[in-house]
Amino acid sequence: MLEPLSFQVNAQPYTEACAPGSSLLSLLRRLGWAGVHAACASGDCGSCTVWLEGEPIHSCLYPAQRIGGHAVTTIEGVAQDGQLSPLQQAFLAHQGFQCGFCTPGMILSAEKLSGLSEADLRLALRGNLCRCTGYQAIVNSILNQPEPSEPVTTGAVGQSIAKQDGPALVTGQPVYTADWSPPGLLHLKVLRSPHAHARIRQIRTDLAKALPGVHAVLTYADVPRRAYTTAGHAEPVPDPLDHFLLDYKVRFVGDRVAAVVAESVAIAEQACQLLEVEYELLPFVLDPELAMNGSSVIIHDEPESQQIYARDRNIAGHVALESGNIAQGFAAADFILEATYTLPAVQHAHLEPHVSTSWLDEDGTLVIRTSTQVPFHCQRILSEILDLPRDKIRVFKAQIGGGFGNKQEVLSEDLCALATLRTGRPVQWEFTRTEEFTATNSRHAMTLRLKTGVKADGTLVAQDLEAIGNTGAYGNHGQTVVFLAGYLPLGLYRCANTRFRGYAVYTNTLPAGAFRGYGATQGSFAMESHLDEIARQLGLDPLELRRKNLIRPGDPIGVGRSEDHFNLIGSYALDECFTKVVQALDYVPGQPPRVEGLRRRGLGFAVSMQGSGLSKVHTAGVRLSLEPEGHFCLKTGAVDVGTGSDTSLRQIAAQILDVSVGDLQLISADTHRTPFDAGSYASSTIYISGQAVNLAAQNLRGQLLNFAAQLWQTPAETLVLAAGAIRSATQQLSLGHLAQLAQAQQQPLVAELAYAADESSLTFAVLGVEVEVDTETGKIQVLRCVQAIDLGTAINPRICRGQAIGGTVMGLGYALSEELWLDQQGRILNPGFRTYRIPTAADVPPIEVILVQKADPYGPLGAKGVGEITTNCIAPAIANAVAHATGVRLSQLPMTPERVWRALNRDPA
Amino acid sequence: MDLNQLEAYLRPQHLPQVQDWSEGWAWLAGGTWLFSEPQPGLRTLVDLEPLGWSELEVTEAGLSIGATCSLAKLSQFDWPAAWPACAAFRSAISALAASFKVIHLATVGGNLCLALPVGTMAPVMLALGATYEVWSPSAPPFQLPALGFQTGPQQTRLQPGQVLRQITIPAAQLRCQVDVQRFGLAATDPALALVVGTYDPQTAQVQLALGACLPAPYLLQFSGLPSAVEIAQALDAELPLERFVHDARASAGYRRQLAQVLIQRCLEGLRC
Repeated sequence: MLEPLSFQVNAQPYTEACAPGSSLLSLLRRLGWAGVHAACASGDCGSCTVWLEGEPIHSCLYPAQRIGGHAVTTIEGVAQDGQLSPLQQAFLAHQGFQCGFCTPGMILSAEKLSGLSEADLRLALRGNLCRCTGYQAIVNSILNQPEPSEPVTTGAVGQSIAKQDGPALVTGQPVYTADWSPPGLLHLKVLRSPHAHARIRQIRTDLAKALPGVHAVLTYADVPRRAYTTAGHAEPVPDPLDHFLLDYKVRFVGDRVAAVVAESVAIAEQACQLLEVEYELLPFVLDPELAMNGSSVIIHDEPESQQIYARDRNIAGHVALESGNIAQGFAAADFILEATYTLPAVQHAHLEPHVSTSWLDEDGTLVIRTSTQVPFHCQRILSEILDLPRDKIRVFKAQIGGGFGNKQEVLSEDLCALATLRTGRPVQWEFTRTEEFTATNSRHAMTLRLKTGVKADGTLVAQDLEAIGNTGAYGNHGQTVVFLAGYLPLGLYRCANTRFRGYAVYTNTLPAGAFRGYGATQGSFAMESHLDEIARQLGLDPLELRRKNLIRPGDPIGVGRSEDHFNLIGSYALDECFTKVVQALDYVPGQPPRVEGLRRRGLGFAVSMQGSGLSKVHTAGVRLSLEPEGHFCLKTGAVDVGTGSDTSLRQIAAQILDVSVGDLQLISADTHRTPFDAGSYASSTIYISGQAVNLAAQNLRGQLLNFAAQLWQTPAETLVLAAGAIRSATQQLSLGHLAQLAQAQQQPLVAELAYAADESSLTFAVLGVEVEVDTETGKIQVLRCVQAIDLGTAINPRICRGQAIGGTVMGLGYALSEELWLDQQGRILNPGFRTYRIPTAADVPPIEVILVQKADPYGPLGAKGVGEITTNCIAPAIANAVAHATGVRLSQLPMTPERVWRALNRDPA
Repeated sequence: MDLNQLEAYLRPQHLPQVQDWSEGWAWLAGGTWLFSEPQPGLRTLVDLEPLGWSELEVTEAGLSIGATCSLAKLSQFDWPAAWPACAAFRSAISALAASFKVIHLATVGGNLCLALPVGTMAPVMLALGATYEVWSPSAPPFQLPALGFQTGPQQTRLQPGQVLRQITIPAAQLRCQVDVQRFGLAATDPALALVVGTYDPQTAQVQLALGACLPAPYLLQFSGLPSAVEIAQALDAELPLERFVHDARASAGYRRQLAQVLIQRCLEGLRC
């Protein structure tokens, strides 16, 4: 610590000493200004933006030692006398946020960017990353631009009711996991493996333990040896049980070696450097095809692991689906195309990192406050690996700053909880951005080989798909992701003879896991590129070829056996989706590409389908009550990862109970306060948790009517519940009064139930793009993008649009710029936002979203899932548009300028 | 980010106060790179901010820029109309693809001395024929030409303890026409190739500084506007393929292609 410095934050004076290397960001957070968000700590994302003497800066880049004599303003200081600034109000009015983690930085930056054109504004926002919104809502907020109008509806459902957490997000309230901790907090850091594959012979911990401020050092010798999966899945768990709290073997660069618990992050970091680890280096394998065929490396040779399909060949999971007879099918084909598609590992890049805080409650309950999509699965897994009864473990989430599948995992909770058990102290573990990129999960890198036979008119007669997914060092989600890579794209088309073989293969690389789209994204790229190429080679219209073969209402999913399936066609509006997209882009079949000098323009399309939750295994519990004070309390285990689903769930209940959303208190995602919910994944929250809310609300509505019917001695059918009261032809009883009467009679008015869907309806989407290719450099520019989504009822159209645009932009990054680069030693070369390029506002084209609403017969009030499908279409649509523009077919993502340039020049190197 | 292993942070009011320069010491200008990634060997930071070296001085002889002049100040300065080449500053700062919040803090000298291949100030200084004044706490100042200052990725001719004090650019160079071309993977990505070109209408001299695609910027000089053939010949003669950066972001061959394309586009800009 150096001399104390005097400065002001939001007009409050401080005199503080801080460490020589402290950033202003850490100083501000230490002082409790939680609206300053730490997301990258490298000056790339802008979440930590503050004003220094009125000028916006990245506080992570600013030396705290320079702060003496200065005045700082954080988001908490922007509202004056409780009055939000006009820009804060505009962010609320236009909902320029989803998870809200980037929001304080966006607002503080934009406050100083007045008077810019949209193009200049987008460029100026390059130091502010958002992974949720796709930026459109943010830009609309800043420019105060009008939004698409929605049909007027009478009830709550169908209205774009504001996300209820908005005011907290635009003012920087301390709502996220890391924003609060109990007193006496210790910090955990993990030493991570520098080697791709090694056995740990010995870890000498003496020096680390002797460092003042170190409370515990944990190695494999200190933990129970129980194999589990980090994946958060409902039982029966489909994943290999192949992970240990800490292990005597490391299997990828970044794997856990040992944990240190200390008074501060700095001490824990220093202690990690003092650990002396003796490694026995083992041969490693980075390529899945080699790992499965011909490598002598066995990544999981430990006897305790279970549910591994073929450990001697490093195959974590295997899928085989077959229907008809493909040999006969190909024999009958007039034309056969075979092609291979190569897809990279990419990262979720949610801005809020993985973070958990654990402590022991007064009654000895182990409490974990964590940024998770799956609190209940987390509780179960912790119970198993820590050998504690489930009711002695409470897991709950705070506001989540994005997840996208990467928090459908137990990655930070386990060691944090163990550290609390060992020290008796509250412990926090927050991942660095480098750890996010190197030690969490990626989308599965995948190689897909697809062979298709068609008749001359384009009718599909045979399809044979092989998918090899790189599941990395651990098998979490491997088999299920590979399953969807084949099942959904093949299932989208009628074809009598189909075969799918999928392999999830271990390698000594970063584990792959759940990521929005979950294999369907990879499979859709292969299928939609492939069909487009067939149409091109046969001289058929690519849209006509698809429409000829797409599944229709009443069709079963054609691939594999029916018992392999868990989806069906409920509502179906694919035809309308095609019509809308074709109209919006003025597409005319057979139209030639436009050539302007060295630039060429073309159009491309893609179709996709995705399930709405998982049928049968995905359970959602709800407890809905009329409280004595007269308001409703909705308890749901469902997890809002930042999308706004908490608001949508309330809209469903509000619709049935005819109250406003504000009349419903919501308590969510807490194993000790809410019923069980499997969690937020597989596009399930509205379709399954929402249906549970719908059923509970119907049930409670019946109870309320029956209560009044008994009171008035009149049949319940003659009564109506509306506007906060029950009415008969002659009488009226307010809900407040009813609640008091019920309490006096000791009659609880509660509906509590659990729901699992028998079948999961399919959501469909069609997307079209226009691109321009610069043939000198290979650069692709997307000029326009239109997506129509057949999503059933849009419970909250603006939230659905947010999912659509955000998912599309995530897909845009996958298409054009994102890829984790691995060197020959298995190290990730771009573990940060400066080198791993997610789209910025300036990279995003105008995106039009058309919500095609046709009520689904199975979903709650006609709704289907919409969280994932939006990511699938844009990469193949761009590849198809590039093929249209240039005649060159790209079969590898991302379609970087160099890859396009090489393809244009027929240069394979 | 926090540089947790840092042991000392010095804020000298005068340069001679900096004593006993040692291994593990570094000068701190804007801090936008030093605080953006772990600095394992770093023990002491010497903050240049209190020295106030942030001047921008316009004289008849030319321009002098203090080493800690922020990029924002350079970008927003109201330049004499007779100096069209000053437009290169703004273009090059824009080509850095950094946030405007970084531009507030990052400095001209920091960008030059960090000497990253993707640095954008160095090619500008090369094209404008700048001279650097170097100070040290215990030795007299001396001058170095911009040409040859950067010797490789994060390598310059500065010795430990030496610090860039000022950049001077002769007025004649500032009267040139100028054009800056960049190419990156995305709209806001660090460049894969950068070309800063100047054309002197008096002498017809053309200077083309290549950045980002090479480990250190390189200056191509022509006595008149070159043809496509002359450019290809110059590249072949002076910059063989193996000189270009080859990494995970792009191959050497692709960077060379970009250099050629950007040179063409730069010359088109200069002809206008």
